[in-house]
Amino acid sequence: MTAHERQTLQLLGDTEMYDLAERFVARHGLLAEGRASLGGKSQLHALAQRSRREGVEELIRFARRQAQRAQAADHSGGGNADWWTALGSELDRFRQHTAVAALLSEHEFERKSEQAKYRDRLAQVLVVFFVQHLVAECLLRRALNEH
Amino acid sequence: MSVIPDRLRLQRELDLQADLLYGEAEQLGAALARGQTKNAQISGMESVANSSTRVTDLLDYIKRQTAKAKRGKEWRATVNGETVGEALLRVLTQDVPRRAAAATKAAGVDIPQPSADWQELQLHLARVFVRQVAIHCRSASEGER
Repeated sequence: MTAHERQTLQLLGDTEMYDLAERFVARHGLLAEGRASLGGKSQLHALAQRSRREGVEELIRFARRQAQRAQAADHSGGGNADWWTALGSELDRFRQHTAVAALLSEHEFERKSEQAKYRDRLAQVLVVFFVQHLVAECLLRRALNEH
Repeated sequence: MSVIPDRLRLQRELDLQADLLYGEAEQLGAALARGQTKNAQISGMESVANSSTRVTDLLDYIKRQTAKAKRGKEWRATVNGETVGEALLRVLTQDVPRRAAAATKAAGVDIPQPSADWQELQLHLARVFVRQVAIHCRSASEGER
């Protein structure tokens, strides 16, 4: 795969990640605010920071830990635990290359990039895009929902 | 037909479509000025639009700025019942692709969607639109002083 093809694929993938992030928020809503509920802006910023420096696996572990802690705190009626669990499942699709395989197949790149290493790299790039868009969408919706 | 006339025709059609966004840009630029949006934030939007290769970076920037703004101020100043931030997002995600499609149709150029070329067209229109918004915002801010 040439550098140009790689760039094109990332560009197309980014648009899909933007739509995916908006769909995720439309479906699972926002984290509930509250000190003990592990929701709120600080958690989103932590997520965004981690996505830039850590791999997909570590992000999934982070989401699962957050889900467990939210469950234990249970100040959000279970909503935040559900949100983090759903995010963990979504991120797991990147680990399993489901999202990447669909993208490669849709744009007919699959025959050129069968190497697992490339799929890993692409998954990592896409997950950063996804989290970046997810955090921006959550921050916007949270602000607009404020009374 | 050679590639160069195609590109020139497309450029002309894109310019015509960009002109059709002028009224909206004027209104949103004035609303940003009314909301006392800082020049640094407007420059930031222009900078993201001009330096990024992805329209989504611009959309994220607008979302983050809107999230930070106080109600009724800056990116949350209202225009026709919505915040400026939401209006900008609407134009960039709905009007810009529609105008890009209209330009390709009028120029008789077939650009598949999605494709890198299609993204490039949208980015071009988005940059022109953001530039127009920024100019109107600065001009309206000057007028208020």
